[in-house]
Amino acid sequence: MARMKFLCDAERCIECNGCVTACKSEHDIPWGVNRRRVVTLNDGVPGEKSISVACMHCSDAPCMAVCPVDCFYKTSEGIVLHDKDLCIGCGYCFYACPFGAPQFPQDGAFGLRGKMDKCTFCAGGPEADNSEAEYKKYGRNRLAEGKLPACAEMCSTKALLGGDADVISDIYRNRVLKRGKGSEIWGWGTAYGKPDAKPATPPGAKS
Amino acid sequence: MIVRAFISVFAAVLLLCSVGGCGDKPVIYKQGQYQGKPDSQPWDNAQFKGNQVEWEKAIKARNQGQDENTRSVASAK
Repeated sequence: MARMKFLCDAERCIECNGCVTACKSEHDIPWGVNRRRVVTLNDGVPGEKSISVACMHCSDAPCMAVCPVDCFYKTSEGIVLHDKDLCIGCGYCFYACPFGAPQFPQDGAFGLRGKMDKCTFCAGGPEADNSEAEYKKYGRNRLAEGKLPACAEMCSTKALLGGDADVISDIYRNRVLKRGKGSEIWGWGTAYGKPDAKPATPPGAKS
Repeated sequence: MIVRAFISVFAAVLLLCSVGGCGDKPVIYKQGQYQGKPDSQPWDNAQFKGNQVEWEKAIKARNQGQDENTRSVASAK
């Protein structure tokens, strides 16, 4: 059985926010709720790094441990889901989560805190698969359609990988081995030749 | 002598108890329920008709589709 995980390659992420847009569009997420977001370190400084963050579907999820109404559960694929009918919107999971994944819609008066919303790995919730009720509460269930999360599949540079942990870690490992280091990562070597490569025309020759 | 044996047995029991909590807890699935909450498997629907193998095949293909190295080789053939 696959164990589903996300993996974001900081060398490839170009902070396009395509994953954020794909997620919002796919699940019709209301204003103010971001199941996924892009975090940039050293923003504006040469060598800045971006990483796409959402629920990491922890193996030992702290949100599950602290929930007073025990609304979380884990599927056989290792995806952490929750039941919105049980959630009381207390916010304990938000404090427990090291990634800030749990989101609370504040669409009522006085900043009313609604039921928790978070990334479902596009696996919906307890309602019947691909039903209207499931879509309204949790968004689309792509996994039941044999597809992977929209954010990972929409990523233009394939910085964000999602799926079976063994497979995506293999993809990432091969990628790191092939791309080398330094300017090779950025594509400079591919575009302009490597520093030690001989120039196309010898110096002094007429072009 | 007895005290030393007692201490070593006590230490061994303590060690076993302390590492007993390590490791992943098995995910329990029975009768359409995950850890006490009702839900269905992703292949229990009209598209896959309960065929787990077909679903896993579809997911595996999607997984591999994220690898540009194998994808470019497959498309070049």
